Amino acid sequence: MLEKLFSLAMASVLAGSMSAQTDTLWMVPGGVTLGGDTLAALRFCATPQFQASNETLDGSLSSVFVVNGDSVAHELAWTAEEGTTWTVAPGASVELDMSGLGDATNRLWSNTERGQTLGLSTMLRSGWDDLPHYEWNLNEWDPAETWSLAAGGSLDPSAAYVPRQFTINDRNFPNTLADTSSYVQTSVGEAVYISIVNQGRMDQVLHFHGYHVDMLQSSAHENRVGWSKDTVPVKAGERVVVRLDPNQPGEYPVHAHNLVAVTNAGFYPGGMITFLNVAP
Amino acid sequence: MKIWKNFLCTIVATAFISVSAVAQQVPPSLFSEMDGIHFLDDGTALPIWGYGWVADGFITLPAPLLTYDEGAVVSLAFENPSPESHTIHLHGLDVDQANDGVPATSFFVTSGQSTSYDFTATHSGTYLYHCHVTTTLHLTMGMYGMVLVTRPDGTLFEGGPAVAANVPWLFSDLEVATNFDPVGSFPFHDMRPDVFMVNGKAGGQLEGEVVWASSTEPTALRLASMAYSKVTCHFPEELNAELWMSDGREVPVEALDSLEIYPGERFTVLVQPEPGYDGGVTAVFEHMVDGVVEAEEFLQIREESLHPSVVEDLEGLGWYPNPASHEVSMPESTGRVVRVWSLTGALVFDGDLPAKGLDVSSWQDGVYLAQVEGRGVTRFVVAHGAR
Repeated sequence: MLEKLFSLAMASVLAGSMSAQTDTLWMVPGGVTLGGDTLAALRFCATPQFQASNETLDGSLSSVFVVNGDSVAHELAWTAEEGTTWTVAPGASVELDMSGLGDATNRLWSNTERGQTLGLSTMLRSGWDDLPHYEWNLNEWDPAETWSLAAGGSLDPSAAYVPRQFTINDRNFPNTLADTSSYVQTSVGEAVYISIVNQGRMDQVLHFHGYHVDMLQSSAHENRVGWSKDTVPVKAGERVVVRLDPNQPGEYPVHAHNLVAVTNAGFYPGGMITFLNVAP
Repeated sequence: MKIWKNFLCTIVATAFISVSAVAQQVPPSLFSEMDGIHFLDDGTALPIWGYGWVADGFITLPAPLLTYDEGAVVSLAFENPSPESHTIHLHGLDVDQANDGVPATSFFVTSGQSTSYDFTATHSGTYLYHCHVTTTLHLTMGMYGMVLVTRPDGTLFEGGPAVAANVPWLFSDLEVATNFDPVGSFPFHDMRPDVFMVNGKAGGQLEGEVVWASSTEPTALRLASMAYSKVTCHFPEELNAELWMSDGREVPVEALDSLEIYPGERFTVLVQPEPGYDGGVTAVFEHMVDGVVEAEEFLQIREESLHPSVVEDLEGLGWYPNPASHEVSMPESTGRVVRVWSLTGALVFDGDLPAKGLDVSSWQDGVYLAQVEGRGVTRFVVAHGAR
C-alpha cells in the first residue's frame, strides 16, 4: 500500500518538478510515547514511513502534494484558502498551490474528528527566510481519546476534555531540548524568527524569559502586529510569527503560562517548555 | 479645590489596592513562608504560601506590590526561612540569566538562605513576580505579586500621557482543595480553580471596594493576570477606556470595550469616566481548557465628584434654590457654558446658562451633576415637591 502511494506521489513530484519546486507530505498512522503515555497518532510525514512529529514545510515551494496513507478519508483544510476543503480518499492525493503566499505561516490540518484528535496538523511556512526560522507546533493530548478515535470511535461531546500531555512539535519537555526546530540557538545581535501554530483545541499562552519579541503575524490578533510582547497568547488554530532580537546572552526558558500545560501527565516540569540559548 | 483634588488622588491611589496595602520598604526586602492564612469570602481560612515584607513578618495573597522608578538600579533582598526552596522570577522585566529566578539556569534559594535579585528597571510598565520552583504548585498556593515601574513625572512612558493615579488589578485564581492538600494535589493537569480573585479578593470581599476616578485626567488601570483562567474585562462606554500599553511596552492606542488577558499578560488601560459616572468593569474568568465561564467579578469605578466628602464640600457653591422644582441658577455663571448629567451619566443639558437659570420643571426628581465651563463639578437636587 505505502509503496504504491510512494510511486503515485513520486510521479506527481516528478511531473511538478519539471516547472517549479514541489514537495510531498504523507498522512501516516502510527503511535507515539509522550511523558510516559502511549498515544495513537496520525502525522504528516516526509516519507511514507511514520514519524513521531509532524513534518513542517517551508521555503519557496510552488505546491505541495498531500498523500493519504491512512485507512479512512480525510477532509483537509489550510488557512491559505479559508473556507475550502479537500476530501482525500485513502490512497489518493491532492495538490495545494503554495505560490504567491508572501511572508506567511499557514496551517494545514485534517478537519475530521479523527485527524484532529490524532494530531494530523502542521504548518506550511513561506517567506521570512532572511534569518534562521524556528517552527513550533503546539498541541495538547488526551491519550484515551486518541485510542478511541484510532479504533473508529468518536468523541463524546458530554465528556470533559482533560488533556494530560502538552507538546511543542509533538514532543514534551525535556525532549523539546533535542528538537532543533524548537530549541533556539543563536547569539547576541543575531535575530531569529519563530513561527508558532496552535494545532490544539485549547488556547495557549507562551512566556519568553529574558526578552521581548516583536509580533510579525497574529492571525487572531491582527491589531497586535508590531507589538513588543514577552507573553504571547496563541489561540486554538492561531498562527503567530515573532522576531527575537537577543540583546543579552544566556539560557532562558520559553514556556506555556497556563501552568497545567508545563506538566507531563500532571507532573512538573514538562509539557510546553523549550529554551533560548543565546551565546555572547 | 486643589486640596480636594490632591485628596482624591490619594483616594484613588489607595482605595482598592489591597495588593499594596503594606507600604513598600526602602529598600524593599521580601521573605517567603509556607504557613500563611488567607480568608475566603465564605470565611474559610485557607492555607497559603507566599511572600511578605521582612519587617512585617507575615505573608499576603497576593504578595506585596513592588514599585520602582523607571531607570532604577534595583537590588531586591530576599530571604527564605521556609522549609522548602523558592525563587523570585521577575516576569517581563527581561533580567539577566543569573537573576531570572529559574532554578535550573539561575539558582535555588534553599531553606535558610538569603540572596538578592539585581536588575535595572529599564521600561516603565506593569510586571509580575512569582516563585519558579515547581511553578504549577507554588503559584496556586499564592507565591506571586505585581511590580509597577513608573516615571517620576507621572507619565506612562516617555512622551506618553500623564495619569492621575495608578490602580493595580491583579487577577488570579486558586483551587481550594490544592491549598488544603498541596502534596495530594498531584497530578496537576486536571486542576480546576474554584476561587477567582482580584487583588486577592473575591465575591462579597470586593463589595465596597471603589476606584474613584477623575473625569478630567485619566486613571491608569494596571491589569495583570496570574490566573489559570482567561480573564476578559468589559468596559462600559462611559468609562472611555483606551489601551495604551502591554507587557511593559507602548502599543498603538485603541478604544476598548473588552480586553482578554491571558495568564502572564499585562495591560495598561486608561479610563476617564464621564462626570457622575457610577459603574465599573466586569471581569469574566473562563477555563483555559474547555472555555467554561467560571465566575464574574464586578470592579466598581465611580467618578470622583461622587465621593461623599467632595459632594459635601461643593454643596455651597451657588446653585440656587437647591433643591429646585422649576429653575435652578448660579448667578455668577450666567452666560457660561454648563453641562449637566444625571447620576446615571446621561447628559441632560449642554449649553449656555440662561440668566433665569435652568428650567428643570420637566426633569425627573433626583441628584444632578453640573460643570460650569472652567470650574469643577457641582451638584444640585431636583425635587418637585420643593419650593
